[in-house]
Amino acid sequence: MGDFVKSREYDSFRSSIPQKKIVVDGDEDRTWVIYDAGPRNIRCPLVFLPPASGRATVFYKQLLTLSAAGYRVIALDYPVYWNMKQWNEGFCKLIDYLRLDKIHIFGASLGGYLGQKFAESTYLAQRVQSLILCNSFSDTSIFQQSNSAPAYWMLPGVILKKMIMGNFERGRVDKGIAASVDFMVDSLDSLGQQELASRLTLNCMNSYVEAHKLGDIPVTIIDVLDTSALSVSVKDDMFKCYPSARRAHLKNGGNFPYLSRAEEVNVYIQIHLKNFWGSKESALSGDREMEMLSTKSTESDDSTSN
Amino acid sequence: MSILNTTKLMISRKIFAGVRISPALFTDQGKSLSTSAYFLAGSQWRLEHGLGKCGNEYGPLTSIPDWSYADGRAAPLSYSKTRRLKDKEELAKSIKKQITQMDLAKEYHKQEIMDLSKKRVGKTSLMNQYVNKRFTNQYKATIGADFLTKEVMVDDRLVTMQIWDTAGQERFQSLGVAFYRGADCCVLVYDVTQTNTFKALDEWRDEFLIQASPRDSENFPFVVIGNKIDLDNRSVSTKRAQNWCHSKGDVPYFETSAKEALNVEQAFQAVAKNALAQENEMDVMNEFPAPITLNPTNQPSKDNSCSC
Repeated sequence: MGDFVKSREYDSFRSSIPQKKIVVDGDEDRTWVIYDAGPRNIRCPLVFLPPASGRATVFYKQLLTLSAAGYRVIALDYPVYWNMKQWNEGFCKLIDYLRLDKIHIFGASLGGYLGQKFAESTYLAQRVQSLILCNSFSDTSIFQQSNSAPAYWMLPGVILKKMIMGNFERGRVDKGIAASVDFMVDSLDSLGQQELASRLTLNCMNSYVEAHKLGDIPVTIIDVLDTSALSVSVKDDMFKCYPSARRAHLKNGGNFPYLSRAEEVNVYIQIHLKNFWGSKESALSGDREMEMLSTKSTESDDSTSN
Repeated sequence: MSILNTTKLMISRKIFAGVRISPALFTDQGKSLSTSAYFLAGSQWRLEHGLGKCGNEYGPLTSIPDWSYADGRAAPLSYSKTRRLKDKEELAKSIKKQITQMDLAKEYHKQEIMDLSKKRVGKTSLMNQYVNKRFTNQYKATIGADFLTKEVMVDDRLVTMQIWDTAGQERFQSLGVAFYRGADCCVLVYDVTQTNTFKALDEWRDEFLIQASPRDSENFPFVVIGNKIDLDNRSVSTKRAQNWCHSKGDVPYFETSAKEALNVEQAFQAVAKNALAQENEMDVMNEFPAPITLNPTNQPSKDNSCSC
């Protein structure tokens, strides 16, 4: 058990933000698990997509901080989908069910890739307003697993876990990073064989993002300089895909900065979302926007914050 | 309460630039070292005056109040003019918001221009001039924080510098501490035509040291920039500024004009250099059971290669 699981913050997350289970395509086995925090009247929230190894709870620090700041934030676990098309359809149904017009996506690793693929598949309807990609990638060929990927469904869970754990950091790391890895391992442990196998299949099946279709979408790339799971060339490819993206660097933080460097990541998220204040696509409640925009809450502010 | 207010006022008058250079990915290929630097800038005072609407490059947060350079020398642009000046794309993005906010903005318009010319020192302009090579007379107050990144060569090393521009608004203080910490260099900016902005440097320096609490606050690198030297009504002499810098331990001093791109490049080059030097020093005196090895020579890139 890591420090984070035992922390009061995590307790507060478990006790204050309810877990919901939603079935969207009539198949009981395919249950989306979501944590929806913040004002419900916001129609364009920030949606967190976890990496292959984690559940929605890995974003608990973002959910707590950002919902307290007035943002609507949703973290979710995807059910078992074996290919991109199914996943896109399922996700689309989910956001329809939640009555969200558009969404901002924060995607970590596989989550970022899925976010990009979803944005690509809905680029005509523009369901994705913006993307924040954290240690993510846009081409699965980097994993060089496309040959073995079709066989993942029949591999035992232990082996699949080992495949992922192999990427986790070993050696000397600071307390925050160590705790983040512990938390991730716990999270990974809780995933079943089917879930893991399907995520890894999505992760490794040969495919890439057609980034030119996402040209209009504002992108922030959160890049941890010490991370070890992705090589520099993969990161460079990301930057090339999104030449106009904002690059948010963290000096260190390991593979899971949203856990180990939550404070800084939250700052980057807020700066990213700040660009949408005042528009229909804002993930922040109108009241809070006005509050932020003026220090003294004068009457005129109140009257316009409807 | 009153203390908080003063803080905000102080913030408005200068830039804090905390440049923090980071460990970088050391890889077998290409770049030998990439470094990120953070630079924090002080707040815009306009916020304290309940003013508020503002924007940034992406667009739509803003109704941009018109602003013209200092002391009413040039007449302020009208709203419509400003809009014409804005490039079309940006306009399209922000137009909706502008319409709803226009009334509010007009209301504050007058006071704002007067005060602005007195108080703003041009932190954001400097950043924009340096990174994007653009200058605009339109004034946009910085809300919260913003950052820009730029890659620079320092001593034959490619360094990614992250420059932070923050508003020291109370509500963002919580947001602030996270990046004040770990800054590698701090840039203080004042307006050479406004003596009070120069006088506030002391407070600002102290404020930064408190917030960032660097390990060696005596030797923490600062760079001082006197901005707006293109204006005629100069009120702080170079000598005076240099004396102040000397008294603080020979802080590098630059006089710039963001408008005419004078000396901006040189000033930020110095920032990058100092920040990098600071980081190297940190490596040496890293006394904690060190998390990540920052120095490439200590840790060969074994752990950094992709293991996927």
